[in-house]
Amino acid sequence: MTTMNPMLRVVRPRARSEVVPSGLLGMVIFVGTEVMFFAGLISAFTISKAGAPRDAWNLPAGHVLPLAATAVNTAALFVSGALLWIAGRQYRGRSSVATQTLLAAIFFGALFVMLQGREWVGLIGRGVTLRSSALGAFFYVIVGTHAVHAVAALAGLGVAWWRLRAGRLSYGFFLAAQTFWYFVVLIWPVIYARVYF
Amino acid sequence: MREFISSVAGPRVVFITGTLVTAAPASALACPVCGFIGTSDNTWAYQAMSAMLTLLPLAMVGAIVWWLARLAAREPRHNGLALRERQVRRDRAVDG
Repeated sequence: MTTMNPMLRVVRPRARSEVVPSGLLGMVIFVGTEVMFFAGLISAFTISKAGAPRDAWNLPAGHVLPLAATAVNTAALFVSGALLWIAGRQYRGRSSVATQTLLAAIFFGALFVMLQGREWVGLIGRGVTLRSSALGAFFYVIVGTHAVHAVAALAGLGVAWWRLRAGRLSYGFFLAAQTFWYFVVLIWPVIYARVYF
Repeated sequence: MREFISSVAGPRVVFITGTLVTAAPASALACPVCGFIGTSDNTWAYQAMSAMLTLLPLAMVGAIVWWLARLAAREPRHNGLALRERQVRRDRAVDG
């Protein structure tokens, strides 16, 4: 017969609550690393531009970057960010229109990417390539990297929309997708102001 | 020997290094692109970007820690003071 040691007690683990959803915390840390990645690119651009002779920092054959067309793209991106913010409020308020608002946010985000693609096709057609000049190389690397992030973030929002429609979207996933898209939206004005002007 | 280094040579090394860094900052500036073209813009860009790349990660880490600490303080189960207060109240109820 075995007797229980009176010194031993069953210790139940204390109930733990989540201060912040794990998905959101992971995304915040990831966005931090991405901010540093873009900071490195912008830093290299700024130092190279400052070091280049004035007449050497141009696109070939006197072409210029399309400022006005990109301003329209930027507006579409901001509209998308605002719609996502509204969709977040609607989702928290359990409103049924959150699905449509989220879809509209994805539409404007996709519009931004498509307009950027159209701009690229025009520039390549005019002979502006990665190898045509230092400005061209920086332009395609920085703006292209941003576009890749935009596409990835849109895919995340697409998954969030699909799950929301099916009624199985977790708050943590929505917050993580939202955070990534806000990063894409907020880093763009910095790139636009630095590269296009 | 070790005592000599720690008592005399150590402070001298600190003094000489400090003097060099503060009195001759141009020699301490490790800018590989400054002076290459020779424009003042270039030096300014290098220094501004160095400051940005140094301060930005520190600011982000600080902001994340501050945000998590604020959230944890709001959450009663993670708040040590609230937990202790509940425990004391429970103990008093048992004693009374």
